[in-house]
Amino acid sequence: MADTNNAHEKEVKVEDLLRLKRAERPSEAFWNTFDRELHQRMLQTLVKKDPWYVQVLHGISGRIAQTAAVGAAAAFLAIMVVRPAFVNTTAPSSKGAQFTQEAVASAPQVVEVAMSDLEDLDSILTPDYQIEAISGSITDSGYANEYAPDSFEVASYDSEVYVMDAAAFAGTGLAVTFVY
Amino acid sequence: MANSGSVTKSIFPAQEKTLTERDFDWAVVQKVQAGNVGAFDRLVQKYREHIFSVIYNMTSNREDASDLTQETFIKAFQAIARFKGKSSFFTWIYRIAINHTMTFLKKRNRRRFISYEKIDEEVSNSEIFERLTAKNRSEKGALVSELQEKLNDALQKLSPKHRSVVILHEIEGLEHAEIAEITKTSTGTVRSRLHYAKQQLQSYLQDYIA
Repeated sequence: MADTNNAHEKEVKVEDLLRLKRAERPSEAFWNTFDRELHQRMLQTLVKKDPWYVQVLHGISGRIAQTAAVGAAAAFLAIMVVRPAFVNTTAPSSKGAQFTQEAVASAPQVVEVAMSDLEDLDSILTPDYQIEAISGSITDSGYANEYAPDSFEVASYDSEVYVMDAAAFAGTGLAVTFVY
Repeated sequence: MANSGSVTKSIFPAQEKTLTERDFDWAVVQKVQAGNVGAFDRLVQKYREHIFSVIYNMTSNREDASDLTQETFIKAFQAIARFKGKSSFFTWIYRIAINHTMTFLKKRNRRRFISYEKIDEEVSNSEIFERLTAKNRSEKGALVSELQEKLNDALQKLSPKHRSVVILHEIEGLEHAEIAEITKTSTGTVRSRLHYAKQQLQSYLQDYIA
């Protein structure tokens, strides 16, 4: 019985083996290095810089503020200068489609004029660009002969029919198309 | 400690830890929170070897263990202002160490480098080594290094969760309830994991077990 107990006591268990792991200890030199490194790292955390993205944000935040201020001033100036030009010609947005349809319906009318008819224009037209026709007569000069047009297409249009979004073209003009 | 009968070397005597140690730590923590940064060094000196031991046995790499132990204390230092003393400082810092090591082990994945600490000379002259030497009929020096390698290898075969419970209980000598608090599990889970882990280790180390 006593032998059995002794044998049982002498058995090596898992717990006994694991307890040996406690003996795996670092030396004093290790702890000296450990303490020194830990102090350095802790000091670094105390004076740690912000992450790179925070630094970038901080760096550009000053420039952004400046740019924003300048941009806002420029935008304000632009609005104050440009806006009056659009005040009277801006079409109501709700009627935009209607204006577009009207513009298509009343497109510039093209009038075909024979060259012989144009010769009579001399008596009618005066050399003034403010009127609704090209003034002058067609001669037999070299340039004219080479590119002598068969006819003029003279079209007149009114600015009121050209509506683009909210803006309208101001003034009245004359469109001339050469047909070869 | 609940297992003080089976653990020959208790790290924290039970009653002393539950009252005196906890109060002492809390007093030091309050000093640090009040701005006495140097007081934190007392906590480092007190716990560094235990934290290192846990991490070393979890990783089986002394360099990794050194880095992770330092990082554990840095994390604790950074978070100490938020420590309210609801749990003891030692369970709090053990929890940081275990969680940090678990995260490290997940990242490390298959990459495993083993580097051991030297075994204390006194232990190689201990009774258990005498028995092992007699049983295996091998030279003591060779047996020490062989057993060290086998032990670390066997621990590494366990899952990190099982490994941590075995280390905290069998090597660090913590109670089931303390381990449950550190790992945020129930004592039942701790017992279950411990039982399974020991069975596994027994099969891995059967050449050395009677």
